[in-house]
Amino acid sequence: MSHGSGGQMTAKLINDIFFKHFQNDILLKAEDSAVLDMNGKIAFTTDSFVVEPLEFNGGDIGKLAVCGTVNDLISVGARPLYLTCGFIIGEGFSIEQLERIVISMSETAKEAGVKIVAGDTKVIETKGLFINTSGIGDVISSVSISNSKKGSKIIVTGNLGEHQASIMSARMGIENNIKSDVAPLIGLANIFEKLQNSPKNIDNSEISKTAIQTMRDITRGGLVTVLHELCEKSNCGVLIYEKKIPVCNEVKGFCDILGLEPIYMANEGKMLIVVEEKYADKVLEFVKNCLYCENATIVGEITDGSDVILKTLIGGERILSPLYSEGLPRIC
Amino acid sequence: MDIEKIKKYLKNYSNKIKIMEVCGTHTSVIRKSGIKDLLSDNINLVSGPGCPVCVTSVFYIDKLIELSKEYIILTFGDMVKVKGSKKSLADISNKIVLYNPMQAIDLALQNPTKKYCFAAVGFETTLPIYALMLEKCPDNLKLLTSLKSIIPALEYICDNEKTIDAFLAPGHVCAVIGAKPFYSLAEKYKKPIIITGFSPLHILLSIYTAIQMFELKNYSVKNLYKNVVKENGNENALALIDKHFHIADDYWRGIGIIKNSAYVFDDDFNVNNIEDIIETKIDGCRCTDVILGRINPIECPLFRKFCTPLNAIGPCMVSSEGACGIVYS
Amino acid sequence: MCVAVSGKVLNIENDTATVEIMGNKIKANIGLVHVIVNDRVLVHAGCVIQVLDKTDAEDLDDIWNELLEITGEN
Repeated sequence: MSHGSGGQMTAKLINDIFFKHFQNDILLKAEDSAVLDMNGKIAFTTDSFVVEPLEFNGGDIGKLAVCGTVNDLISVGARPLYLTCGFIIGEGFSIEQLERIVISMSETAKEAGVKIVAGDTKVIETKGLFINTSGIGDVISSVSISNSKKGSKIIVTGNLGEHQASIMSARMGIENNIKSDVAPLIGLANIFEKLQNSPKNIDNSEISKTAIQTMRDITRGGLVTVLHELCEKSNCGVLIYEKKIPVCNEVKGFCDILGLEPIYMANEGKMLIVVEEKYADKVLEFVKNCLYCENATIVGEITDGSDVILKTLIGGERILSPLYSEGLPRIC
Repeated sequence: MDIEKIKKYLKNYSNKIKIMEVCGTHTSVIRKSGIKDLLSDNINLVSGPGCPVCVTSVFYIDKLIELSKEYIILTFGDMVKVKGSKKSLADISNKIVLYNPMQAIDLALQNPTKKYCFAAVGFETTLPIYALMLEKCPDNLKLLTSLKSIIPALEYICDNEKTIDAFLAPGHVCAVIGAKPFYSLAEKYKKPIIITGFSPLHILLSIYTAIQMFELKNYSVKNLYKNVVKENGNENALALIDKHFHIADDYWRGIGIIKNSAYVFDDDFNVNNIEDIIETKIDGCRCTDVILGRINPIECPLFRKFCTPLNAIGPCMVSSEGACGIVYS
Repeated sequence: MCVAVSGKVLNIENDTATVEIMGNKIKANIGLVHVIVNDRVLVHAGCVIQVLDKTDAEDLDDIWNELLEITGEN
């Protein structure tokens, strides 16, 4: 408890763990606020992380906290620059585990090219660890959830359902090698820069600066939830193809066991990208060369209806309704 | 096998036929695969009473809630939101949700000072698993059963609902009871019965077969799930069921009493004297007609307007295997 | 009512089999059906309810043969 009270113990915690691993010139000034140089439009977001278990196959709450906020910035066409993080730590929490999680955050932040420039720590009686991160970035391109146009193609940057399957497997006693897909999709921020900077911008092809209309982080509620948000804001419909949905075999098997569907499951390292039809194949090739996006694929297109429709493997059509409850696995 | 030819036939079929697919899991696969899009409008595919949660009486839920004062209730996820006369299991905290009934045995053995009651609901598919539980059931684990038999329900439907021309029989119930029990049903009521697997292709082919048999007036049973369903079923499982359970009359929510339609065992908690059960009908709720295959969910006046998964009025909307819940999703 | 998955038996210990389903391993009770290692089985609610002695392709062949019996068509 005394670590959070503001005295010497707090200073020790901050120095020995947070400053040590989050080292950067701004943080180490140890001002009450970080003072930053920014140009033009700024993207600004925040998210809080309460996942259990704290460490899981493929990641941990710290990595999640960095990636979640970084990816939210990228999805509005921004290059992520700075994060803050607030820790609420339960009394008696293991210092070793805390340090592991902080190291993981530091490594992920480095990979994402962001500096953690401010933070806060509180210690409370309730057990556990809760993290909030806020982040800002330079807006490079004006993509928007309201911008999707009829005929444009929908890209998903990789296999679906891995994060939720990884967390649930532990809880349900199902053994597998499914890893959370938690990752910073920083390669995608490079697409915007390339598009903005030169006429022959991607693989020597000229792609319009406005070719990418919408990007969205596919997190809780899965692909279908994002598609519904898109339809509402862009006033459109969507048609996706079951045979195109990227899912690895292990996640498919996991879903079969519990009666779940990958298109409704949570991810932490997947983006939805809506691209003007004539540039879709070229943009897809570029996306596939980005780290964590090698399984990117075009899954469907924007329509002028208002529903989210799935063309099934057997050739029927199914209207996909929003996820209304994260229901328990079916058996009977 | 020319699947495209079969699809073309089904899309262009010009006679009227009504086929009941009995099992909630069939309803779910049909919905998720969009099979109905591949069928002509003349093929009316209706769902039936094969959703164990949908047909469990209000009084069963009330009894569970009563028992939760003394026992930790163990239940499948489906049962949690079903309303009794006032409350559902969602309103009680003294419960644990399982997806595997045998976990209940481990739980009871690991916690000998705690008392558990398992909400044992299901049809013949799950029945042998409960029989297995009873083989090694520790004293601190009780079962409150709502275990129903599908054949009496189908007989009831055939007696009371003459418009159904053919049935798709539930493949995994048949894995236990076999194909044989359906022969007399097919013969007595003159209906083709197709024992059906659970992939979209299995179901499509079963629908096609049902129509062929209907056209040829072939009123018999066709087993299109032979890899799983044997003539006499699973004799091991049937012996276990025989050892622990006997047949009794039962009350089916939305239908009423069906004779010889329940499996009970001697130490079962008694729900109620079923003759005393009087259910209040909710104005406009047409779950009964949905379960009996008279209407499709969208024909119920409450569907979607007042009855939704978040505010379920009838049991068909609550359960993930209920016809209304599936169509809504 | 009938959600079940098929998988392969990896090993057996007393009345529990470890069944592999597309890279996932679960435990299933084998009190209802006699199984041996490498059997392909159907699992429902944590129990093996059937041994599958045919492949999916053979299963489809069976269905086709049944259909031919009824219709006499090709």
